[in-house]
Amino acid sequence: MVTAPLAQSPGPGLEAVAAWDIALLRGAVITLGAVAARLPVWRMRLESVGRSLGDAQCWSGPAALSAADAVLGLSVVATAVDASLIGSQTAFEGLLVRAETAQELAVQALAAASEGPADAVEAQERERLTAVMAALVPDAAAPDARGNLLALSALEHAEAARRAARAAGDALERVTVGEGAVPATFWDLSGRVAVVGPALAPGLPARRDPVAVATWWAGLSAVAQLAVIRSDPAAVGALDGVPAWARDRANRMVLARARDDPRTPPYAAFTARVVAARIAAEEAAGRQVQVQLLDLAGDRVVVALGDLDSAGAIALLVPGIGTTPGDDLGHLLQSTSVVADAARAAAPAMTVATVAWLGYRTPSGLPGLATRGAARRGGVALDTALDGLVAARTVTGRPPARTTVLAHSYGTVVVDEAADEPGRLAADAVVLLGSPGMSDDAASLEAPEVYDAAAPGDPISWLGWFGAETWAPSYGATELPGGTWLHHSDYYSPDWPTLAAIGEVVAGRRHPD
Amino acid sequence: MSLTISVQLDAVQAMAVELTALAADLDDDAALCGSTAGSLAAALGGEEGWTAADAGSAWAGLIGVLAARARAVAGTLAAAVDSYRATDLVLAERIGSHRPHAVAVAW
Repeated sequence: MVTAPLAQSPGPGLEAVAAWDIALLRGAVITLGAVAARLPVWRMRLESVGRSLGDAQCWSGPAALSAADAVLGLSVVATAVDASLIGSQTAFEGLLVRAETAQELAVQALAAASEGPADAVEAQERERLTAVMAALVPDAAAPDARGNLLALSALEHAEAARRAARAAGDALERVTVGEGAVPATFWDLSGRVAVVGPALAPGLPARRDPVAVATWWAGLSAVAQLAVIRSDPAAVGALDGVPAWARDRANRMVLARARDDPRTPPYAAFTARVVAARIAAEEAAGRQVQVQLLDLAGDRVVVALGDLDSAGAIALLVPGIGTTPGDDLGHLLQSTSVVADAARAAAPAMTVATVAWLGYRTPSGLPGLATRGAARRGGVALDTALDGLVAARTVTGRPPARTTVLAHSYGTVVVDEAADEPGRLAADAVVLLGSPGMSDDAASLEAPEVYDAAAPGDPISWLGWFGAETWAPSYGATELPGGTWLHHSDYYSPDWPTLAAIGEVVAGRRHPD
Repeated sequence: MSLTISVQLDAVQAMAVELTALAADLDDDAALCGSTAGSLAAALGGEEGWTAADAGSAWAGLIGVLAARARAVAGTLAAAVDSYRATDLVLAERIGSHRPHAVAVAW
């Protein structure tokens, strides 16, 4: 705490305001903003430690539980401090704006005064302004008439700056004691925040767009995050914008409940068994699994291999018609795995996460496969999912991963529809594999890089059913290598050069024409 | 009541190291906020400067408290690892000392 000057003046004079060092102030406010921006990232790292301690995989027993509680308690207090600093930072930014204006006006007022008295201000107005100034600065002499308006305005902004400075301290009230003093110990601070007691699950956010969701989630303490997962795992598991670790935890709870509940409908139970078996198989093979969507009623499942929260490169595999979680998750995860291997081969130092994205119900027969209905629904879901991946990182100040959408067959139509949704498609690259045609051209996909693979042996890519043939030069995609006898289901096969090229795209090691 | 106690000492040690690094990061930010408070006072002067500097100092203090707690938890974890290792060693020696004739065993 800084010791205040003995004499509390009602406000600075014009000369004092004109002497404010705005450059120094700006630098200070920017510095505090950078500190405030780092704290959420710090909390994420801390909470990752807390989750590891709580998972009982590396440590179990009473001491382990106490250690996990200690870290979670620290996270709760850090969340409260974080929220207070954000409020204080907002006030500091207001202080900067007001001080800049006040200083500029004060300089102008003093310059006007130095030019001597001028004509056009009526005595009555001068008297009124002088009275107002006297209220703000009791000892101030009546300013020169010509500079009156400038001086008054400067002092009003200076007063607003003073209020903003106070607000910067007031915003810390929840985490400080008596006139802005910082609690002496962590326990004094945690007492202010009221860590002790059962955590009530907070309500889900009113707005469900990914940025709003990610902002809501980042504002919750670790204890509140765990409470809301336990309270409504199905909702959290489906929320785009929530970090991958949390969605995984929520969806695994949904999966366990579905498997344990005898009332689960037979087909949903079948799908749940398949998903559980695939998770077990992948984890037994040493691969990290994150379940990002488990909508058993809607027959939609999204499973990632790798850590979506930290990977440098992410690829989403969007399959085509007749692909269901129950029948095809294993095959799709196999493709997901070989794509990850190809990306690592292209960039060995890069961390990669690949996603089996069955986030839409694929059409399985006529007339569905001949229309865009399923693609439109899938496009909305894909667009939001991509936005969610970006938002989950950027709200905590972390850069998004390089993101590639790998669309196969009817999946390319899903990407086509996703690009038509409002806002830019949040992908760095789109790869079209055996596309049955797309509307418009490659530029309409809104991704900086668009690649295409097709082959004479793949009749689907010659259909042009849904629009332009994507291999045609007029479409504007960069061609990936294939082969004359490459078939429609061979694009992820290691027997063809397409897979290695896909890996280079995912890793950002291949560049468009 | 059955109670499972298990520990992967290297993993817990790694968490202690991470917590120590987290504490160090906040120590840096606390120091930065402290010097920034001085800049706020110098930039504005007068009551405005003191008020803003007071808030900036509170930032430094709050972040410092979090850093100290992170360091304390890190120290506790590191001490726990040392303690587990020491206890295991003592137990191993105690169990071994009851054998009248040590027998070499190849695994």
